[in-house]
Amino acid sequence: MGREVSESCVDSLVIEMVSAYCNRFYATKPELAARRIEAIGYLVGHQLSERYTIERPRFSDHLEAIKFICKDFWSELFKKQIDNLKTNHRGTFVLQDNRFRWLTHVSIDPSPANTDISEEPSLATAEGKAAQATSMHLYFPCGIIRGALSNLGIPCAVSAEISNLPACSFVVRIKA
Amino acid sequence: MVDRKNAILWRIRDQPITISTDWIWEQWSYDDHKLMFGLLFSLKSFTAKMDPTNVEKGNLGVPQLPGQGCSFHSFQTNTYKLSFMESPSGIKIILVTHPKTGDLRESLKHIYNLYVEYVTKNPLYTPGTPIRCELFNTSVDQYVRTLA
Repeated sequence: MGREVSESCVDSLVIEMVSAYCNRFYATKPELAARRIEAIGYLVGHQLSERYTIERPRFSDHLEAIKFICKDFWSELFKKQIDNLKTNHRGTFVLQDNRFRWLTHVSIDPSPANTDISEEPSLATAEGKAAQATSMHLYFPCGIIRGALSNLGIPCAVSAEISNLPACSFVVRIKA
Repeated sequence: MVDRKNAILWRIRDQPITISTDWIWEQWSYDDHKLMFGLLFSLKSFTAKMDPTNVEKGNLGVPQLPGQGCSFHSFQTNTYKLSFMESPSGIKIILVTHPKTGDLRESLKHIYNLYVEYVTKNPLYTPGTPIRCELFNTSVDQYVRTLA
């Protein structure tokens, strides 16, 4: 579809956007930052799904739409498909990606950063902070999925979990 | 690895014992660090000054922009060989190896590539701080083992 842009540029832009919202705009309110990032993703997903469904007929049901997200949409965005799709047939879908492209370069500090003896051993909290920072980066793709699905006529809520880097899973709950 | 402001970002040293290489994390003291930086800085400006092919030379001691003029890449003693590479952004990579090792410039470039991939593109890393990225450590480790 026409023009190309360097992947490093897009990656850096997304990273900077997340860090700008988390550390500068809403430094004290991470929930607001998360919602803003997700809203941006929503608009992006909305427009992307418009582009990528341009010559397709309407989707017959929710499962077809989700399969479109897993296969064509994901491969347009991340050059691979979703590795695993699970559903409970009652409106909840779990999309699992074993090597999420935007998480491949993320790695956490293996050793405790500060050797301050006066503080309690902060290994757990350091890991917790790193996990929280990483999860902030997943709000954007959640928004993309939600935007894409809502443009296809399926209102839903999307959340993400990281099992172990770089694998992550997105849980889509369709609103009845 | 040392960055533009001469902060040591990451250290690892290899000493080959017979055929296999053995990696040793070593706690260099701050003095060693200063010595090394001073040596490399002087070597860089000295080699640029002594360059017979280059017409325009800065005075000795004037810091040159990275990449400008000729740049030295390794020195060798009877017990070890030190290879050096400086990127345009001021990141210096230093590799200390067995004296019989060949030209390591390609390897240094590869390590710099790994640095770009796993450190600069890591959203959890702030530039200028010591590098503590597990992916970077493991990938450099693996790469160097293939060199041995």
